[in-house]
Amino acid sequence: MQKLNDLRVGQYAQVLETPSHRILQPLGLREGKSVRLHAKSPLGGPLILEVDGRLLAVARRAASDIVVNGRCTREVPAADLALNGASQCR
Amino acid sequence: MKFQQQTLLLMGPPNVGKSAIFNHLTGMNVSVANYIGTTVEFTEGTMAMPGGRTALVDVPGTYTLAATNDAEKVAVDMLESGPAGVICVIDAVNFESSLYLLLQVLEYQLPTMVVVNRWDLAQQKGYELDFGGLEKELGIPLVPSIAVAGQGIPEIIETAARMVSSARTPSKPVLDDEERWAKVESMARDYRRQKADMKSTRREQLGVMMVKPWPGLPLALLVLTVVFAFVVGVGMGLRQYLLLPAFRGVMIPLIETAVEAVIPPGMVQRILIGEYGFLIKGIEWPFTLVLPYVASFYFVLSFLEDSGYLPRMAVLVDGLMNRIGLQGPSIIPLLLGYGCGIPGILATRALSSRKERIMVSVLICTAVPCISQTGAFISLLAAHSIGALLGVFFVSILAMAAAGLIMDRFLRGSIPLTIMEVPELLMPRADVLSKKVLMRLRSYIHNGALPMIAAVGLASVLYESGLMAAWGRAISPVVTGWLNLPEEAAVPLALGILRRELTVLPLIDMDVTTLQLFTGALVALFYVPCIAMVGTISREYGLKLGVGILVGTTVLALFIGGLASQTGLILGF
Repeated sequence: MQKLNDLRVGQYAQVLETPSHRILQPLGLREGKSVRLHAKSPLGGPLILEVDGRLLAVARRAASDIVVNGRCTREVPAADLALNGASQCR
Repeated sequence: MKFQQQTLLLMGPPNVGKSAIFNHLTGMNVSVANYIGTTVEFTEGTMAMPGGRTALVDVPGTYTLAATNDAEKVAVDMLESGPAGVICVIDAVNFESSLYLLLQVLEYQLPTMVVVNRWDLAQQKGYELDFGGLEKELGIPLVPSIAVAGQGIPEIIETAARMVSSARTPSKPVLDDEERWAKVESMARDYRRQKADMKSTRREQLGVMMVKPWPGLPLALLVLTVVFAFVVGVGMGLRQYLLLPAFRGVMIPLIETAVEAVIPPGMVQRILIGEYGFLIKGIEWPFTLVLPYVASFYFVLSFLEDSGYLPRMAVLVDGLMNRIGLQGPSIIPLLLGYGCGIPGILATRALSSRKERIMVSVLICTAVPCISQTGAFISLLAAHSIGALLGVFFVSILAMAAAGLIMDRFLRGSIPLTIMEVPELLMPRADVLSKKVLMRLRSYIHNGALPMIAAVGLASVLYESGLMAAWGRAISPVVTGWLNLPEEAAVPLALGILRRELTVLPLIDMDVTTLQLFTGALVALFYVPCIAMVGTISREYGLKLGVGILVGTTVLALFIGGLASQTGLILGF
């Protein structure tokens, strides 16, 4: 299983599974969402992610609990997700 | 608890602009900034509506109502205390998570209206919102607004008045979490559309660049350098060309002439306009030595706060801060502490653990000089040696790292994982910025300059009555023997308990070497934070920590000051 912190910088992915958490879901890290890894902060600092146009910083240990599908080469449009279901990733 | 009078709650996710709306609705001036957790405790104000006045509460922002942290518990508590209604502010940009919170609020079946804020920003991002459709689906009144520009405010007041008088409570099914998110996502699809060919704006690209290690880290160094140069440079300019001529040239001669005309020479006259005369030093110090730096610092700080840059810096240093047991966002209270320790300590309420709150508060008390003190350092040292000035700040940062490491070992509790939103990078609005700077200057004059004048007044009485000299003789072994300062430097040590900068300012008028100035500045840096800060610490964490800080900082200051002085002498400075 591929985890969020396995992604390369610049890569897009689709979230498959997020542990239930106080703010991960509200911040947009929910099943089916497209996410992009922008950077990894220095000295083991958080990952910089973008979900739905929102920038997030997520500690690497939290990111290692989030399962993703990293075979997306570009952002998955929201409309496609709705039509084809969550597991589609072109 | 139970609300005593008719009360409306202003709720919404963090950083959506609730406080900006609150200020417009109540005419109050609570602090607003572009980061999460600006509002750390609820504020109550009064709002005038057609048909009477009502109380309005600015509830701290929360993402959910799960009551798993303090802010959420406050929010839930308020919803259960029988408010007359809720004004729920949602974010046109971060639409889904806002709607999620709104659905949770609606489950309380209170009269509720919704305000869709920041829709100008959503428009810039290429979103189109169907306000009519959303209003119909929700079944509650909806008002779009741009709070920072004051748009939509009259409509909010009018709608709130109608809501309270009709008090129609929408009934909504209680959903489980999964159903709620599904509902939210379908509502977002139906009522918000993004134009297909939208590219990210330059502002957004810059916002991402600033948070990446490259080029974010070098940029952060550049920002800090510019900030330091601006505070010192602009402050010195204000002092040299504006405040000094105004006070030394006009105000003080006027005061002297007036006092000499009314009061005959003698002790009373000396207390007023003598060596420590509080109408002279008491006016000159707060207004010509400190005020210029207060002005330049708060301009930069307010600019950074409203731009959304501070959370970016917090993310960049998160890994580094983790090494001393802190999270990146703790730099925000620390930075506020460089202005004044009290708002810094209060801002630690937004941090996620008690351990971190105590650590940051103690750091602010020991090693972070407030702007009054920094102003005094600059006045004292910059003319003699910029190196000594930078040296003081270097020692301060070194001490912070050491204190962090030590406290991390001895305080129990682990570092919570950093999971945070990085807000939009925005150009601060000139009107909001100038209002904020003016408010902070006014607060400096009330809470800083006036106590300083009083403290100098007290000092001048003690000085002229000879009590000060007796005190100086009593502690002269420490002052002259260990610190190598002139005997009269015992005076600032006594004054420093009242106000931080008074540990430094009197040295300006003494004939001392650069090493002595540096020693004095170091002692001042670590010395007792002012009495108001000790009070705040005692209120927030109990008297024990307050007293601990009082004793600990005194010992530490004398120890480090003496160490520097003795080492300096051996090295032949």
